[in-house]
Amino acid sequence: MTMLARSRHTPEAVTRPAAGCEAGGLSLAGITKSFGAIKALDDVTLAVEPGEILAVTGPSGAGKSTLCRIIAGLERQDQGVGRFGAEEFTHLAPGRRRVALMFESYALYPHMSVRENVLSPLRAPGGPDRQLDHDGTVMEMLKLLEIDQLADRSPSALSGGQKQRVALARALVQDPRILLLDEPISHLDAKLRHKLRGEIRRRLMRRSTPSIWFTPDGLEALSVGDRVAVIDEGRIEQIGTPEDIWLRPATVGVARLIGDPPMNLIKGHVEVKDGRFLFIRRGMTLPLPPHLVPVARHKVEGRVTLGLRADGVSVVAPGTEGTIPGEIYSHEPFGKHDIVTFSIAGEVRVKIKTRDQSSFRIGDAAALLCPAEGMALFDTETGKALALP
Amino acid sequence: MNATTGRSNPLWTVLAVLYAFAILFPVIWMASMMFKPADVMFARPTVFLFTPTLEHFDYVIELGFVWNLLTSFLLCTISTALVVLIGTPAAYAFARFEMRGKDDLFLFILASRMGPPVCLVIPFYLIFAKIGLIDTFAGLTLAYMTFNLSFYVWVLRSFCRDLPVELEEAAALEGWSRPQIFRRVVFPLLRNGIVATAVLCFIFAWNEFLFAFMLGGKTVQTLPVAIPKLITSQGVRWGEMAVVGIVALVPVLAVVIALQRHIVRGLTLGAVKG
Repeated sequence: MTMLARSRHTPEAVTRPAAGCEAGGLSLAGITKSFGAIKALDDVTLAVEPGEILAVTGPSGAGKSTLCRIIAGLERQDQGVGRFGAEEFTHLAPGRRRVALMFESYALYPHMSVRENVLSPLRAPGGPDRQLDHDGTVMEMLKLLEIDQLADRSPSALSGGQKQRVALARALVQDPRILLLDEPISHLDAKLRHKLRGEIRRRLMRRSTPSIWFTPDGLEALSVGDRVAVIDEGRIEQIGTPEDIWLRPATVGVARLIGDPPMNLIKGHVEVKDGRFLFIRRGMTLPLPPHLVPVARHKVEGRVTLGLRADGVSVVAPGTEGTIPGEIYSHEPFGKHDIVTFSIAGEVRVKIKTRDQSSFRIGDAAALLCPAEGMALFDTETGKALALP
Repeated sequence: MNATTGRSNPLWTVLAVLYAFAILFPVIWMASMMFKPADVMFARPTVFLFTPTLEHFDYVIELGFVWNLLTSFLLCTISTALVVLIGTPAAYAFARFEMRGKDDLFLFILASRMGPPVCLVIPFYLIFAKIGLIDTFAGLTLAYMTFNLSFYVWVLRSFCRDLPVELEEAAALEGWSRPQIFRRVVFPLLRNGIVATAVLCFIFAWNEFLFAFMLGGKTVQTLPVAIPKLITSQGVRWGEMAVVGIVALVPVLAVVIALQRHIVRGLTLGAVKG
């Protein structure tokens, strides 16, 4: 637990990609995999420390499943190596890697009871001593996950949430060197997802096993991972703490994936007028905040994309100084917050998440206030966040 | 009206009984002929009440039909067992493994079932005659296996494909070897499919006449081949034919009833998998 608290909040974990390697965690270096002409993974390098939960997220087809299957040994990489501590594992057969994988479909053996399902890895030839009586271990694990009363049921008699716990029990009982969770809660309803997300994270945090949680849901990744890796088109776009990913997306791809609603991305260019750095787009002129000026300095007249976090900007009365004029395009009241779509010059639409319960009327003139902390600037050509050269 | 009330409707019950009667009538008619004395066999009007006789049974036993029954039973059982033994791994391999020319090979296997049997029986005869398999138990077993194997592999492959591959992957990750995975995970889940398909193969073999007639005949004579012995120069021995007909039904019925649970599950596997 202390280890997790440390890795979640210290920047060292982000900047030391090979840290897992020294401490007996998992590290991958230069993993590449193609299926015919399609490059599923391109030079993937990452590390997971013991006890750490790394959430890997990305749109569907980004390469998450391929990465998961390569670590498990169900696919073979074209290039690159994987290590547990200093020991290379990528040449080993799946059964000899001590990798526990919780499948998206749970993959519970339908002809075995819950107890037999959880017992199965312990009885396997590569597992712990087969002569031992593992029933006690299994029951202990079932009790821990509060499913001991289901021990003799068959998987077909279980609900989605119960199946998910059995699959987790089967994974945890193996004492694996790494635990992979492939979209573990994707098939559950929203309420159960909410409940189990926290519950699984709590179970994983108590262990020293490194875990990788794969999910297409960016917000889920932020909520379960000590660190989050965003993968797109087979490439790791960014690895960082949830705060990093949320506040400082490294690429347009990350910005598009994370957020509810995702970050607003507006293409334009940077101009300098009277010594002020401005973001310009037809119908829209926005002075850049001081923290973006040093990076924008290198992109004057160049094409940039402005990122506005939906919860970082707000709608104010028209005419307020330093705001962008426009009108309310649509308004979705959700109760806990409202989503307002703001239209600038009839062609740029910005989604705003606001707790302001004032009545927004469609077509009303309004203004958009963009505080410095809600803004990011990307290079339109490379898609990367602008940084100092 | 939902399905439940539809089934309990008396009209449906009457229709179901009528349908069952129409289907079962030939069997009932044959069963009555087994015990009917020859003089009332075709009497008009039909005699429903008669003193049952076992004379037809005596004649059938005298003609050695017990041996024919045993030959048929052994031949079908052994050939079906071999089909299951060879066909199950083949079907699994076709469903799971990637290999060069897999689809062509599969079509080739299926093609052996596409031509009419009468086209195949002549080459079979010529080959068997060359290698001394004509009128041997091994020869007929081999012939039955050949035409049932393609059917078995074809049907079982679709059962294999319906099994989620994640189950096997989960077992592989736990450390089980491929043969162990097949025995622990694949086989128990395929059992119903195997039984249902094997029973169909057994029935195909049981009813087979052409191959048994052409490739067997004298020393190896199956039940369907022996039946024409009852068409004699003195006329057709209907009572004895009824006895053989009913007796021929018994092993198939016994197999189907014994394995009913698996067959029903196997045949409906595609419809109810969840």
